[in-house]
Amino acid sequence: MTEVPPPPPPPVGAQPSAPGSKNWMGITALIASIVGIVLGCCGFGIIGGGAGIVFGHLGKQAAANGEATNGKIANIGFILGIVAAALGLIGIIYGFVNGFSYDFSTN
Amino acid sequence: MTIVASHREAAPTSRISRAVVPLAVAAAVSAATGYIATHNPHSESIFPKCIFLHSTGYYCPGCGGTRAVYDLAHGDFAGAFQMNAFVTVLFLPPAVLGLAWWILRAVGVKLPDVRTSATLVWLYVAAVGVFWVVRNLPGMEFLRP
Repeated sequence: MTEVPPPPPPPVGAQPSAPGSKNWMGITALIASIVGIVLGCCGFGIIGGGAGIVFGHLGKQAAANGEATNGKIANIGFILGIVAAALGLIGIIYGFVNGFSYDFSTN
Repeated sequence: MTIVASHREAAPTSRISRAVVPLAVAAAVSAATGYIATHNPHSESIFPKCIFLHSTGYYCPGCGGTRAVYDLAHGDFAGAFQMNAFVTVLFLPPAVLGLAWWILRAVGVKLPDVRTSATLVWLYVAAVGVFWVVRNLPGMEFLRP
């Protein structure tokens, strides 16, 4: 009688996640940045742009680790995030310079 | 002889837990839309006036976007198009479709993958820039709110 050894269990938690499993980071960066650009002129670009920069950076890292397949998208999200944050920052500085004395009649 | 296979099975993520994030986003978007729809931005102010418009006198690509959302929420497509054509045609429809796709996929409905190419994204960004310039040109009053 031959003893059949059980197959070794697959390593758990050691290997990186499946390729593409972190693609949501790049897409999130892209969407946040584009929304931030559209709202950037109103000073809200800091929020969208900040999220775009953070997720764009994470997405680029994930792509470098083989956990994401959309490194290009993450990179664009990162770049547009900087643009959106810059727009929002300019808006906020302008607001402070003018004491936030906007005309609140229309938007 | 019995071989007891001891392998760890990945706990299947339930449909409900996978749908939490898209449903939360949908709830936030719905709440914002409901707020705009019940606070007429044509007559009362919801947000401060656009800083870009205020400082330069030129319209930014988002100017009129809030009013476009209000008009669409009240079924006035022509009015929304007049307020902000870009938001009405190229921003809100893809956003709504994308959100619906995200939720349906999360709850297990079989839908095809959507691939976003870098070219498409740059074209979209270019469209924002073109709209920004063109709506401020003389003779293009119909693109201004």
